[in-house]
Amino acid sequence: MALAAAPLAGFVARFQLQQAGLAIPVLRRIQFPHVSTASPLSTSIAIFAGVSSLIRDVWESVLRAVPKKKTSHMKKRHRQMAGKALKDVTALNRCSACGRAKRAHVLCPYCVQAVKNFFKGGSKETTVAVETAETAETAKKADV
Amino acid sequence: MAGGAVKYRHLSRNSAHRQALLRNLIESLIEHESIRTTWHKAKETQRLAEKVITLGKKNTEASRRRAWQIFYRPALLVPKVFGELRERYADRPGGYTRVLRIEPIKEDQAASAILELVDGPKDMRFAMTAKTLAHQRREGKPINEITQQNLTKVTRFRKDGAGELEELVKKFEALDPQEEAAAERPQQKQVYPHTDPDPTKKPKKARWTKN
Repeated sequence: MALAAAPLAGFVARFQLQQAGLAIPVLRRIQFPHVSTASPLSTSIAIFAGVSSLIRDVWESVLRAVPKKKTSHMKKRHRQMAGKALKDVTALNRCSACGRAKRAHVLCPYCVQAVKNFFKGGSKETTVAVETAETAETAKKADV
Repeated sequence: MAGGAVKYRHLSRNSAHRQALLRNLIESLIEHESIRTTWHKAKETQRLAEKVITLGKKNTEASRRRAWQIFYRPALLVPKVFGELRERYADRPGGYTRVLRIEPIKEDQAASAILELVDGPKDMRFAMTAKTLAHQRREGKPINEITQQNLTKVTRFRKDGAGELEELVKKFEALDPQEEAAAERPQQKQVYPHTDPDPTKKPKKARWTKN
């Protein structure tokens, strides 16, 4: 009713002004609808009045999205622990050179170390073995 | 084309750094015949190493000059490539290097590998096959299929392969099995800072210059 009355009042005013001989622009006489609540939503919408409607919609949804309740301990833990634990290594088999368990397709670390040490001091080890064998032989001969 | 695979690994380095890395790695490989590095670096170095050995096998002036460009110490290593390695791999059609996966060397658990020259003095597969045979003979177990395959692999192009393998098997048999069983697992190289567990020791001074 008020809205209907407003433009009529405006027209009446225009007629009166035209009679008075003044040329006032039409926009000034049109009354904007009165907004009772001065919310930040409405003010921000007013700011974006000139911008496209898409951005205005996005801005509205961003302002409205808010968590309803504090996430419970149970829900928080379910989200954090869901299938994110370290996986067990199941691809295991036996080393053919020492019999220990090892990862499949990977060299046994003990054997690699043994071979490395063998190559490093390999000649020493063989001479030691030979020497001990020789001393054992001489000891046997002495006994006999 | 988006989503296509690269032709070679970038190894988180720019072109110059990557080239320098690979050159350094093949330098070490040719010098030591067996190196430990990350698996990805090993696979990339393999490509360059095989090309370098191919240059040696070609044995032309042009290939020699190319080899001189690749190494950082060409006077030391080009004679080895064009001499010893050329003779070693004369009959072998490609596949002069081998990448064997190993347990991570460092604390960061990076996938590690041994990159080695096949039929060399530090051939890990050769040594492992010998160790396996020694273990099987000691335990009285029969030779299984995979060991037989490895046997043929390591002796096929090796000069007097069977003889050398037998010698190495005997050396491994002479080793003390109890000492081997008591051996400790090699410790991984440290990467992250470790706090000193001993509280009686004076704490290290904080360094405010870094970070």
